[in-house]
Amino acid sequence: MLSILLILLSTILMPGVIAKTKAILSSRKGASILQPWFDIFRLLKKGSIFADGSTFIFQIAPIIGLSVLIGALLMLPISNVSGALIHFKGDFLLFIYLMGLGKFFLIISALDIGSGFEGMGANREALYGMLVEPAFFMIIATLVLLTGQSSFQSIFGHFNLDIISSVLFAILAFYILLQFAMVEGSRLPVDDPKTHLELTMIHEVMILDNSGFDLALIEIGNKLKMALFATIIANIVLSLVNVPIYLSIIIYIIIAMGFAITVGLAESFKARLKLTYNSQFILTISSISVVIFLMFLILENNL
Amino acid sequence: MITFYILIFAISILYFSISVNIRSYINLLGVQGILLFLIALSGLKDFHIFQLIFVAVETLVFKGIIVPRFLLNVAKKNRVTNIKNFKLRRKMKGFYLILTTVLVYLITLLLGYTLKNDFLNVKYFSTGITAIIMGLLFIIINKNITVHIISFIVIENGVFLMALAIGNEMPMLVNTAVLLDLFVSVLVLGVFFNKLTYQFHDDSSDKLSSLKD
Amino acid sequence: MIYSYLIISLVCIFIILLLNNKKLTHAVVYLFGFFQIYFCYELYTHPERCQNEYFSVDSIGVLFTIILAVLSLVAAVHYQKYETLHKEDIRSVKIHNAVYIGFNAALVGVYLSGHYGLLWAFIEATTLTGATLIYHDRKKIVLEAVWKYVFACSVSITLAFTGILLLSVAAQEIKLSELSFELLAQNAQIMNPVWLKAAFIFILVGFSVKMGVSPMFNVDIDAKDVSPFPIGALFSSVLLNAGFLAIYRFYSIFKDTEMGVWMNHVLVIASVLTLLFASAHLLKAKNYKRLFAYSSMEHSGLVLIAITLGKLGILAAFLHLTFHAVVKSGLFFQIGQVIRLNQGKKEAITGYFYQNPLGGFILLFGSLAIMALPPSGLFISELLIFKSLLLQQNGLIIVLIFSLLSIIFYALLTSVFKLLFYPSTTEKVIVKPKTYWLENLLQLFLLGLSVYFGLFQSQFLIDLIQASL
Repeated sequence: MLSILLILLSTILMPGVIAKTKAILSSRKGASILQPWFDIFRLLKKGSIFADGSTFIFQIAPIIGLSVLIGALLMLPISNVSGALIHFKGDFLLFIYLMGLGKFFLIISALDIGSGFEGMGANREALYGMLVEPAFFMIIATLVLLTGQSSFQSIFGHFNLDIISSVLFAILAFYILLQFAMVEGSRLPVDDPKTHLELTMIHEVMILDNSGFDLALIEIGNKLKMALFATIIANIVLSLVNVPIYLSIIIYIIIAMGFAITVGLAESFKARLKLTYNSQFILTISSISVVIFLMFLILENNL
Repeated sequence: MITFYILIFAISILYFSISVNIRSYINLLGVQGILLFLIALSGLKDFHIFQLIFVAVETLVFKGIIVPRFLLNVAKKNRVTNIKNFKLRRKMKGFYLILTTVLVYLITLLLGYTLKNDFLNVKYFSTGITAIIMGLLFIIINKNITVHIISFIVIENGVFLMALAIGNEMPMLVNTAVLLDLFVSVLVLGVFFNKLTYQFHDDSSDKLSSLKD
Repeated sequence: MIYSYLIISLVCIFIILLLNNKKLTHAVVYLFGFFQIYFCYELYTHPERCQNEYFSVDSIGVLFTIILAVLSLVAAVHYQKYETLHKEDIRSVKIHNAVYIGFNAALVGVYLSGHYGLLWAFIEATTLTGATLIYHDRKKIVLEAVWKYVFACSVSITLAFTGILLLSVAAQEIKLSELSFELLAQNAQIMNPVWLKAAFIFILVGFSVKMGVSPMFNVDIDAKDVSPFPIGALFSSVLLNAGFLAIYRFYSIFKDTEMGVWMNHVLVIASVLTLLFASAHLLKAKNYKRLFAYSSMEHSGLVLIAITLGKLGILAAFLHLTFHAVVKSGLFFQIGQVIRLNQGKKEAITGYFYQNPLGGFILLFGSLAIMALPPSGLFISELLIFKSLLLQQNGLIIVLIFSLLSIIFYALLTSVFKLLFYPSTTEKVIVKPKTYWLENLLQLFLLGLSVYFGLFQSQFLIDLIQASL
């Protein structure tokens, strides 16, 4: 229970912190931290418009997109604070595939509209989603390998290697998961959220025709996704230390905000990659995580 | 700790596959030199102290500092910045090279496991062979002579890693690998590369095509 | 004894670098050449004096060292005449002669080393010294060939080192502490063949650049093309022997184990590919130095397939190498004269026989000898090779090799006859041939050697080779 509340808290705070970081780094004062939520409330009050040739898929896709993320939310624990609401063996697979299900429905709803822009966006989203998926899988697979458990709750409870290996693994996992979150959350350098040229968008152009309530659901989903990845990183760090609950809550908040500030920093100092180099960049991230997994495989002398 | 260094060595080969600038190649070469220094220090425990100092100094000073500095000077003199003249489609070159690296690494790991040798340290072995094969691929795909030399040093780094894998029993071999580096790099880089760039004013290997039947 | 040889070579190098007179440097090289002949005599009569923990004297090493001693002296004579005519400056002559002595010393190290790592280090030394020897003129095309030679040799020798590392993994399994040939030969049967197979592939590919066979032959051909002709002659004869020895040491240790059949298959593939490429290039070659360089490649291919054919084949391989070294260097020396008489052009030379009858005779006789026609010793070695091949009854290989050899025969002889006997179509300029009696004498001597040892089966040679079987 407590973990769900904490993740929702970080969902509320994180997008604002990212935007504020970017603003401060460009010598502006920036909007208030809750400004993205004011935008969402404005959208929630409006009605939706559906395109003429679209079918029921276009109407149910945003709902599916948000509900799978809430389902995924229920499966994440926070290491020293509280357990997950739903936990069973192999639930990390369900976690990632729920997110995949949401993405799948968004893609086919974009194709459902029948406009060229959305089709192009669906195309790109599908490719980059496919290329970046091994990154997350391999990091979680390394964790499964190291601890021998296969549920999020038990992985993050049992994580004790010798201190040097775990610190090193935490650094590597942080790097990979940061890149992964920035690709999945449609951030620079793969996808610029501030661009207004449709031919250069990836995620934004896919949801171009969604409006009002549906758009609000999709936006809430995006923010929730970032918070979920921040929680996984916080879990890896928290399972290394053995501290009482209130200290863990404080550490968790610090890590979530630190993650948001890092994303803001990383976005401010990068430019958007040429689209033809995007697939190479994403494949690099996946390959590095595959190599990490293989190396830890040798370390444990398993096969 | 050594596992971590070898892991970063393997990741540096991945970054070699996607580099576009000569400067990034040279920086990666310096990083590999420093990594080999750290691996040599922590891996060769049974060595005589002087041999260890010799190996350590050679990797750190020579491969980590002197060679990249020299190559950077030559690249600046010839105003070479971008690596040009690929043979594959330029835009997809990094993509395929990364796939190849991971595939080669996976295959050598599987080979290492099926052989099940007590004396074979699989992590050194597979990273070394990946470095050798990818170095050869970089030589084939690129047409700049500076990149050829850099890839040759990558091959030598791979050979040095493999020599470290069995180095504790046969110190002569590690010494020979180090001396190979020193002599061949000094002759190849220092003497002939200088003459070549002086005469041809360019480091593209297209200019070297007048010897025919 | 071997240490004193190495020390004397170092001393000679220092002396040459300090001298300032061309004739004196040549004199030092001749002195070193005579010392080498004395050293060979010492090796032949008292081999046990030269054994120590790193070097081992066996009869193959002695044979190759004798060939080296004879040929290097002849090449030094030719080089003196070459640089006199080209009016080289003192600095390049000094460097060339100093590195020449280093090259000889490195080759003797290769022939006599008893330890695989040491063999590899000496071959590395031959790369370095050989590259300096090739870079004699200062033209762009020479620099290009030298760069390619140095680079490809370095990469190949690094691959060969990988092979040696794999061999040492196999050796470590059975707790050997060093890679000396006797220890390996004693323990050959119990080593793990997986490592040995991988090591053999790497070693074959790595040392193929020195021998001039299939995977990496191009740079060797280029090097022989642009180098001064005495160096080209040495590359075709003694360096080829060194590369062969590096591969043969490995092969001879493991040929009786379960790997032997597999190694034979690999060598057959390599040699057929070599012959294929040699025949293709020979049909196209117009430059006469490249013509004889490709002919060397063809003979290396034949030697590679000869060693797979059992004891008779190995005897034939060594005979072939000996005679080939002698005849090919004679041919290279004569081609040098041809080029000199045609104002430094290397192609489109015709009617040489009419210009210089004695040189033409040497060239004619030498090419017939290199194509293994009867009076030469190569006829005997090729006859033995063919006999062993036919006894093996492998039809496809026999057909392939014979057809490729016929193509090579045709290509080589048409080019040589064009060189010798075509009447020149340009205006006949009567050039007074500037040949030196010493050069001609030496070349005749070399050809005569091959004929003599071929016709009168020299007991000395057969004993020497049989001692190693």
